[in-house]
Amino acid sequence: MILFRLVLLLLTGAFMLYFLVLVRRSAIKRLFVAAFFGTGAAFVLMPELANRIAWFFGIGRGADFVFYLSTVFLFFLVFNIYLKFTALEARQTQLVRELALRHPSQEPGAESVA
Amino acid sequence: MTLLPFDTAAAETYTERLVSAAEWASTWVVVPAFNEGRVVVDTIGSLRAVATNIVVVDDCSSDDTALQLDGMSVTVLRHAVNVGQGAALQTGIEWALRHGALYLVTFDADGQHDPHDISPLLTTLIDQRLDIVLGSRFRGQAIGISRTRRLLLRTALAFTRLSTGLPVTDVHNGLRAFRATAAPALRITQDRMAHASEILDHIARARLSWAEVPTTVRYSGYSVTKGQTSLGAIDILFELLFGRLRR
Repeated sequence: MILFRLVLLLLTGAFMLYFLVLVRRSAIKRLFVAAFFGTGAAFVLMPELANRIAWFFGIGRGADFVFYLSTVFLFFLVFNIYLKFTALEARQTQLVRELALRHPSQEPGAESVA
Repeated sequence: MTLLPFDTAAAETYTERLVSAAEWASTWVVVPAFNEGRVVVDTIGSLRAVATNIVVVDDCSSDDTALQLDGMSVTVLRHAVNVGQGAALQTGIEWALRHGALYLVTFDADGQHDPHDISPLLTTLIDQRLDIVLGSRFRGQAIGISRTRRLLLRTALAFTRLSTGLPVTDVHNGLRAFRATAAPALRITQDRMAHASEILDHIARARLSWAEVPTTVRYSGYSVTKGQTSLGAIDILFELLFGRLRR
């Protein structure tokens, strides 16, 4: 059990460092990342804590509580990625448009360059 | 029907005059095209007979759409990758604006519209000093329309009326005319099929002055296979809903 916890803690720490380095731009996102992994580490160190919070919310086990929490988090993440993706698509469209406008493949009267 | 800004009395006066050469010179017709190689020459040829400035936006067709237009006296812009009909329209609109258009017309490449419908659209736009004039197949004619298509459009219509509050009689009709001054308010951000509903959204939001003019839509075997399936309505709904979340 001790070994398992140690591995989990190390992994959590490594991921947190990785994401903190990765997310360079916004302080809010850094705080969010720190809070997320901090909570994870706290649950690893004090499994009873998860249990108690679970009971507070009327959920049977701490593990269930963590599971629900991660589901919500994953949904949030997917939504976030969706937003990023659509923003990226909009930028792609702008690029494609600008390119098309700058180099018409045919203009009336002019020799075809298509 | 009395709710409509375009009453029958006005409808009888709009065809009285022809569009002048000067007006045609400051009008650009924007034609988005995607894999229309089979019909694009016919469509553009008949359009050429009435309009002066035409810009075809080839949305990275995998067929010979762009090649078919070779030698025709039109501007052809080609998207480097396929980004959708809404995006193609906006590209053509930008081109027209950068080339001094005062009036813009959107026209589908699949041959479902009648080029002679453009003239009443433009004269209504100009003479009644409106921001935008929309073509309506349900005030005009929908030749060869299937029952399911009619039902689908009625459903889309009900949804659009509810969400925009505009008493329109047709949605997703690709034939419209608008002023260059209204173009910024009408800017299309829905790259794919939801742009038609988006335009109505913009009209409602920016409180643009508008009217509908009867137009003919001709459903050929070709345009039916090219067009939306009934499930397309669901796609459009989702595009609109998620597009709203993004704003």
